[in-house]
Amino acid sequence: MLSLENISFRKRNELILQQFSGTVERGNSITIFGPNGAGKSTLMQIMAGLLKPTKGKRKTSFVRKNPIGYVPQQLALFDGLTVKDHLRFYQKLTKQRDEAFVQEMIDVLNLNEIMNKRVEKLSGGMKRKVNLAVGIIHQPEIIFLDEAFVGVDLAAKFDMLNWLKQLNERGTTIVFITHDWHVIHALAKEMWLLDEGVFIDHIQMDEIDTFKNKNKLSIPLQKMFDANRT
Amino acid sequence: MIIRAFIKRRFTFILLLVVPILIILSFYYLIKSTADDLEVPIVFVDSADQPFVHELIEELGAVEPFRIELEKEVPWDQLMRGEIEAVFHFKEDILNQIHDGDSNELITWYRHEQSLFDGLIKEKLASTMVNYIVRAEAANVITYYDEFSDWEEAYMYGLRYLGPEPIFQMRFQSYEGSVAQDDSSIIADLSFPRLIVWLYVIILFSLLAQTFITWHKEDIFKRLKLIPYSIFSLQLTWLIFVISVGTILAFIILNAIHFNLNDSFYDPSLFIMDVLAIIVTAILVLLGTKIFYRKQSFIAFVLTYTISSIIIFLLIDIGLLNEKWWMYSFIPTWLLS
Ligand SMILES: Nc1ncnc2c1ncn2[C@@H]1O[C@H](COP(=O)(O)OP(=O)(O)OP(=O)(O)O)[C@@H](O)[C@H]1O
Ligand SMILES: [Mg+2]
Repeated sequence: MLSLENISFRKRNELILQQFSGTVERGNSITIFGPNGAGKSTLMQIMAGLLKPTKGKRKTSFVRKNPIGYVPQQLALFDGLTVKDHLRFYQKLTKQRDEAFVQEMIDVLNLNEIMNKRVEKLSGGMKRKVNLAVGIIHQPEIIFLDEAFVGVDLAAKFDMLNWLKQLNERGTTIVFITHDWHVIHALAKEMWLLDEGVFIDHIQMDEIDTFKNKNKLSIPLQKMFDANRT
Repeated sequence: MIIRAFIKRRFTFILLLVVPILIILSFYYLIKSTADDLEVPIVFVDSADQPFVHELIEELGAVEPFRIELEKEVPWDQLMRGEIEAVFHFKEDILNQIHDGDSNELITWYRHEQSLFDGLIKEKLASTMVNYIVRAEAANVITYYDEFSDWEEAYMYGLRYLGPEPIFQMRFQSYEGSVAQDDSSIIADLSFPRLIVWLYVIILFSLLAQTFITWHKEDIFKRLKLIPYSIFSLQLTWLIFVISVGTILAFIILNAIHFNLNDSFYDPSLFIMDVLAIIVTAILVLLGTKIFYRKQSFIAFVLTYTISSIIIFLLIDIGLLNEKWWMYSFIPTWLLS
């Protein structure tokens, strides 16, 4: 449903992404993995269509009107508005009329108790939940999550993962960035490995433990893989 | 609902409510103080304290810009310092002289070198005096030809016998009329209050537009970009909101000032220009947030535009600059009449 061909991205004469290719099939769940500054967020924004690649092609085939859900790395919320205001606002903008879906999401994410609180008064983890909720309230075909689980407690993480897994099982495609192995194991089916803007490999999650080329990896990436065992 | 996100800061709220009141009040006091400044002090001197002079002052009544004081001696010092516009010194035994038909040097008129408006009160005083003189003359004439008639009675009805109003009075009234007209035409165009209101409007809009800059920084626009027309609809909401708020506030402020000055409401055909200025200002500020999405550069843009606009407005208003087509790119110049 989404494919990238030889994508390069350059900003201020700095090559942030080189010759990246990859295909996202419907219903897949992919994690983009790599050290800080590898270009993961940049790649995700190109996939979502927020950034135009300097070179290369992006092809998409969607069926719905609002196919993309994007949850940015920064908390993109309106200060002064309550959680309820946020949900209603995005519901209106995206013309989401499926109240049952919205209510189900509110229940699974446990948002009921904080519905009438202003977002700036919420804790960091609660804000993450709201950030996720408004990004996917319109039931998109493909969801992009850029480190959506940072600072979220285990209970909230459980709520969020639970909901995303349900959506994925119902056919929603998920692409996410995280540094949390727990989230990767819980949600990912495939991993795209990225280091300093260079594509390293596609890995199926069931092959992750037998991932042979480990020795070719840079030291930061090796350390990140070592963290998986402990 | 989303409008709450635009005015979330308390400061914006204060600007929305307190500043219009301050503008109205400051113009109210400004107008009042200039009205006070316009008071022209005149002194009548009557060393004999004659009832006739009191009667005369009563007859004169309130003459708009003048404040008439009755003294026993000529206040030379104040006259010299220009604190008094003019002094009218009445002769002792003035009434008898009038009755005798002798109208020579009844009053001595002292004025300062820079006295401007005293001619006005002189005319008024003269026309009032002429009433008495004419009546006395009439009574004299009547009693001369008809020795059985009563002088006092003839004097009382003297004016009726002699017919028309004295010419002085007619001239005076036309002068008064033209003064009043000048006054209102200076005030009616309201160009300075309109400039202040525009200044207030652009500051208000720029503050309300800060929300967009914050949203840009906080990646809210990234999220919205993926929802078709959402940014457009937000900007449209913002425009409608700020234009209505700006129009309502400008309407209230300008009408309050206008009513205060002229006891009438603000001319709708002039207000159309204000509304147009408000609409274009809102669009300009919005475009500013799209081009300069860093807070500092946006503020610099608004400040530069505002200050140059005010300078050009004032230069044209005081006549140092001739209007040229490019000056109309500065919105306040539209408010010049
Ligand atoms: N707006 C920008 N201007 C210039 N360079 C940028 C900009 N945004 C990102 N970069 C550079 O692009 C590279 C990749 O950034 P990116 O945010 O995609 O990394 P990332 O993999 O998401 O890192 P992290 O794990 O820290 O989020 C970095 O070297 C960064 O310095
Ligand atoms: Mg990132």
